[in-house]
Amino acid sequence: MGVLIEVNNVRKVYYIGSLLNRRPVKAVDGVSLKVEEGRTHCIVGESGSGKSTLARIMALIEEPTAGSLNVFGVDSTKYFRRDLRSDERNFIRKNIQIVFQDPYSSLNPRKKVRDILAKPFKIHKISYNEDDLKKLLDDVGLEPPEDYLDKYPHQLSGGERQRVAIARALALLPKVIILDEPTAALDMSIKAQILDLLVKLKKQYNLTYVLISHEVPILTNICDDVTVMYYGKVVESGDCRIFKTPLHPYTIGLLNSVLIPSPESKTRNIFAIPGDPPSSTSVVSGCAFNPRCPLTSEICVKHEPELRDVGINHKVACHKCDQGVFERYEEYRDSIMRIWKEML
Amino acid sequence: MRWLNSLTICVALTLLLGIVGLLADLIAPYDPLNTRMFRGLQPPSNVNLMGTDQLGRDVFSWVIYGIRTSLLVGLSSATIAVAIAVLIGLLSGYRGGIIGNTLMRVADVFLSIPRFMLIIVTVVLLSPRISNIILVIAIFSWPEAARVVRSEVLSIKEREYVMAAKALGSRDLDIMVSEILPNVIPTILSLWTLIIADAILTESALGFLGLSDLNYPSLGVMLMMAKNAIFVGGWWVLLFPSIALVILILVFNSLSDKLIERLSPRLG
Amino acid sequence: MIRLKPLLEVRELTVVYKVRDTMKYAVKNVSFTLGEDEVLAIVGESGSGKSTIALSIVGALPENAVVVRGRILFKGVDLLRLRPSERRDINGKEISIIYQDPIAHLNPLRKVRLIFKDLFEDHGVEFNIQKVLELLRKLKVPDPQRVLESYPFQLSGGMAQRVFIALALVLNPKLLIADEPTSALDLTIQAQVVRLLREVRESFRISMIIITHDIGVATSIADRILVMCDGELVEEGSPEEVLLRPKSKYTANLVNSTKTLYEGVMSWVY
Repeated sequence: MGVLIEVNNVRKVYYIGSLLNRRPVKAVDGVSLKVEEGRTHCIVGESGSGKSTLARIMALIEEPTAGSLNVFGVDSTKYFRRDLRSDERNFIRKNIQIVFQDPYSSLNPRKKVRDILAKPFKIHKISYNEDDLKKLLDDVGLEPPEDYLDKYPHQLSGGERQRVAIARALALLPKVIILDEPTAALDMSIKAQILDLLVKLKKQYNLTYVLISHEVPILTNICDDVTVMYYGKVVESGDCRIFKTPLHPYTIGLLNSVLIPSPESKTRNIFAIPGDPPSSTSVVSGCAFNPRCPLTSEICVKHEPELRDVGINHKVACHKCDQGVFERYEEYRDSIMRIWKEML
Repeated sequence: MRWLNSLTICVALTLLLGIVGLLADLIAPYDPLNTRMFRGLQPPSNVNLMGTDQLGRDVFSWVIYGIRTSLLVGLSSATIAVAIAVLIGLLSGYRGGIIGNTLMRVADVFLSIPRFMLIIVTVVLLSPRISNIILVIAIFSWPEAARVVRSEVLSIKEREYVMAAKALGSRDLDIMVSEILPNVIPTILSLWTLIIADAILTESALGFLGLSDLNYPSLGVMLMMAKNAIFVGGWWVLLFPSIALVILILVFNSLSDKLIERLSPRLG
Repeated sequence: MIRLKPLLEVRELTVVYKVRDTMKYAVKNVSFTLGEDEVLAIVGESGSGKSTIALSIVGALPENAVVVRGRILFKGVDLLRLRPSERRDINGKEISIIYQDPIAHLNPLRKVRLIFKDLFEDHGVEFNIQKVLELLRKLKVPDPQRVLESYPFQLSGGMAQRVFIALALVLNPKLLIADEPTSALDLTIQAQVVRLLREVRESFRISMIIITHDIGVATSIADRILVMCDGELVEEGSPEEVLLRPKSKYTANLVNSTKTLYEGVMSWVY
């Protein structure tokens, strides 16, 4: 299986504040990852982790400040400099699509579903007819399709809008769809439906997904590969087995923060990682997680850990983890949780 | 009675005013420019519905033609101003760049000088012909509107449907015209009606100061006559043109409010 | 189940919204009772009417909402029939509400100390800084003196939440309403808020109504859960009953879809 998108040490810096008092915000700070064909690659992180900026960079909507992407074998810098033949450019543009979190803002409120779905064909000058549009609506489970063609977004429910957004992304039969928090704004029962739809479409059209989400419980259902981000950096990555044996203290804490609905949950202790995530402009020396981490020592404050291999397809950016950690995994994990629980 | 709401009333009044303006020749009983030496300052009667001014001109006919002039100046200058504003606002909001930013700085300069004074000076320099008045008002009205359009564009271009269009490969021009512009239209319409009201007021003020095209009766000119007429009891010279002016301004101002209310996209 | 003395009784509450020229039922004939020191969660999806109930209780319904029928008895007084001035006396002092975004609900131009002072003065109570400090300490705010001299935007997210809750609690209200305290929040922040609300219920004698769409949040904190759908109350019961023996089909569906989504995580997280 080939690598479709390769992200190499990508950075994105924004500047905020006034002309005289400009401060940089590192939204994405040196991220590398590979998206393999046919997989669902999840990027997990909380607000401020830079995952949405990364999504936009991977969708080639935003240009990285530094670093580059290799998309279907083409260097992204060429794409952004408009240094490509138009057929190459169109090929890339057709094959990467993006679905956004908020179905209320991702559809133009002044356009009918018909026009929204026809847009991709018009842009790429592909001939289409009404049946193509109906087929798209049918694929995303909006039945009967003719009832939807002439509706405006405000006449649809949140779930229906998200389906239209997915249909639009699907129109050009892309290889990769980037899903930026596709279920975050939806009600619980709708989340499940949209997830089922995504699974179905992936099989039907041989899609590759990049799923950006903070909803850990949901993405565990469909993920193949995982990249965990904290404060603009990758802290842990690998295949979905890393959810079973998370190594980075942040990943461990994150997975333990899930509020599982169960009859006993009222009496069970609730765990929350102590402290606050760093604000976008704050500067943390060394490992960004060190102010909240139970394992912090001198080296964590002085040096920034690099992402390195610790197991088969398992990388982690932590000074305290090495290959040996798997041998005493439970002891390692429990000691982290114990120290945290004492802090709370 | 769903149709009977404030927007419908506003639109109906606007249309009514429009008809009055269009059919001024048929409605007005006299030529408003006609002065009659010995029929000055006649009170309202069945001969002169709203009386006459010091020069014996029929106030009713003057008001009818005045409405026409007001509408002509208001509509044309607002349309020109909004067209400029949309072009510049869209360009500088979406693309920024040297041209866009320079144009916005020009707008800032315009905004920093007392507008009415500039208009007076320019009209005096160019001579007060109706086309000059329209152009001058238009040229001094676009900067404010351009600012509003620009800020709207700045917010809309960050919306996700614009991102989605980019991801599909839309060209910038296409994004501006088919994704952003339709969403700025309510604002544009409302700005347009606001500028109409403003331009009508400006035109009258110019008339009041004696800067009007002599072939186009201005409500302001009649108000200037009223300045002296009321001291000799000619209240009708003041009252009727004032009412006409107030109605014109009110109708266009409230039309602007109602349009924004009605046309904003329903998101809920 | 022990029969608790009722603090709040909602009787046949029916609220409609006027949207343009049409009427839309937001809450249809909903009745429930909240006992003293009881924590009640109202669970529902968007548009189910759960927030409208909260707004009716605090008297903050939008202008286009009309209470067509019903009563909300708080300590025997019908809140819907109070004059605005009486209403203001109750809000903040007897009934408090907290929202999910604390910083957005704090005046950015006033120091935290002044925000507290305003609250005391609005209710004609003498400003007692010792009481505020004590409360902040109880809510585990480190260095409360410094926090009082800060502006809201200088507080971290976690601190702002605690300050916001302190504001809601400082006048010893009997009822705390939390309107979607965790929606759209990240997992770790959500867990923090739920922990905090639990701390509050342990250290203060107070009744709570938690409005949430997340059944996980509801079962983690509530004694009793109400489920709303399309303005109607479809389920009422303890967390065990709602999760294991739901009476309505809607609740069963909701519980099932949540369980399906959490399946992956349940097998992985310990």
